[in-house]
Amino acid sequence: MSKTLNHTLAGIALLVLPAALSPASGAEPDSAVAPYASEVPSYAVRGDKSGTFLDEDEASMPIAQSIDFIVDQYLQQRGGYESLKSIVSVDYYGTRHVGSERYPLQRHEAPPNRSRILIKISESSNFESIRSDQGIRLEGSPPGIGTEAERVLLKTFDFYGTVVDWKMKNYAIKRRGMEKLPGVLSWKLEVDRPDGYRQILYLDSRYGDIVKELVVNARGVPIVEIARHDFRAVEGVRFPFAVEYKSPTGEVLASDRLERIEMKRRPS
Amino acid sequence: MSKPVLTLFAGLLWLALTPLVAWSADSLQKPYIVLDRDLNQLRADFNANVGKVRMLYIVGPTCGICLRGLSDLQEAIYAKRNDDPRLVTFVVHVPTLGAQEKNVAGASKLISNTYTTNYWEETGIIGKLMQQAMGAEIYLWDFWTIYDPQAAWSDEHQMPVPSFWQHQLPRLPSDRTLNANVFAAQVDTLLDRVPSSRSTGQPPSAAGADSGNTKQ
Repeated sequence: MSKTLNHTLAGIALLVLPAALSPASGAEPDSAVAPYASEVPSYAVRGDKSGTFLDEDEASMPIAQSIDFIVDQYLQQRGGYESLKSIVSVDYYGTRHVGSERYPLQRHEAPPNRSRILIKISESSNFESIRSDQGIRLEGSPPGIGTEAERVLLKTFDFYGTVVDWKMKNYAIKRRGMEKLPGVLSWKLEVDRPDGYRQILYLDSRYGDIVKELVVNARGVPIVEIARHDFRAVEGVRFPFAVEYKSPTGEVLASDRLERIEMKRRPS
Repeated sequence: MSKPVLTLFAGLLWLALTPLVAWSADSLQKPYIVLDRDLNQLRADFNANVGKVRMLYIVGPTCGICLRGLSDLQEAIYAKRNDDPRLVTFVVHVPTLGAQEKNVAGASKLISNTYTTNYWEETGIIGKLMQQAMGAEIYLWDFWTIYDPQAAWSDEHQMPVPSFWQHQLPRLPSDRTLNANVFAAQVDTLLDRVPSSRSTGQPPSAAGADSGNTKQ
């Protein structure tokens, strides 16, 4: 073997050796002696903390907790299922802010999904929206929000909350992992309703409050976003005292500031 | 040297260097460190930061309750402390509830802090070592600890006992359930013992690993 070739082979050996020893040269580091979850007890590998399966989609933070776990948390923070079902009406009193304009607002809600909103526009005119057993009726133009969004809000209104009795209502819910909103880590749920509307809900992972909601129509077009803040307990049930309505582009259309919430329950 | 030999040499040089480049790029992209079963890197990082207040969290990256804990502590400690070099954090992600390594990167974003390092520990042995150190009856994860500045991890088979701990597990004392405000108050108490020199800090991964730390 020539001297030149010897040097060449020695050089090759020096170059190949580090590559052979580098972490990327083998399979997983220590895979032979460090099998996956070998030290974790079986109950914690799956099935613990109500977690069974991960999200199916590519959520940025998929979670193991089940939909029932998240819904139960929501119900607990609202006083429990039976307590929630004993509510027969809720009246809200406050102000709608649209830009620099302010309008006195009253809202009455009752089961199953009845709602009446009255907003005083001026001394002589009001906006009124009603959802009753007979359907939806609007009188006047809703300040800030627009007629289409107002109709969609009424159509998708659930007195007890979207996620309550979701199976009985034939809603399909998918988990979409967790998402960090400003100051709040939220459970993200996607709710497909039989009426074609879709709601993307963000529930505070600490309190179960629905802090953000995006309503999408049957054609997949986002209609309105609702951001809820300033949650306070009224007779054991948490309500948002500040609600912002935003366009799909994030523009604030209107915000409601509530001063008083009155709740009536069925006599026990 | 003849042209064929030179060509062969160049080809082998390329083959030899490609894995190194790939590995290096991979390390830079990962916002966490992959630990071996002996936890050598974690132990080195822990000991390299003696003299500082150290937090060690054992979490599952697909456990929403764990993620909420990280988020709560981000708000209660890290968002207020602004990269205090006296405060070093190790977040060890373990394979509970079906978690895989691919889940670690997303969870690593919940704490934003220069002196925090995330790790993926694929066997989950750290939970067993912590269980042994604490004398607990159950495997410890979703477990949140603080070590005082003097604590050292000398025995590789035995973790040091933390000076304060909280948890989010069903079978441990409820008065020890993670409360971010209580936890932050304990951190403040221990920090009072550490001089507030801004020049002492180095990210824990600088202790030996050439992998990236968690700063996003």
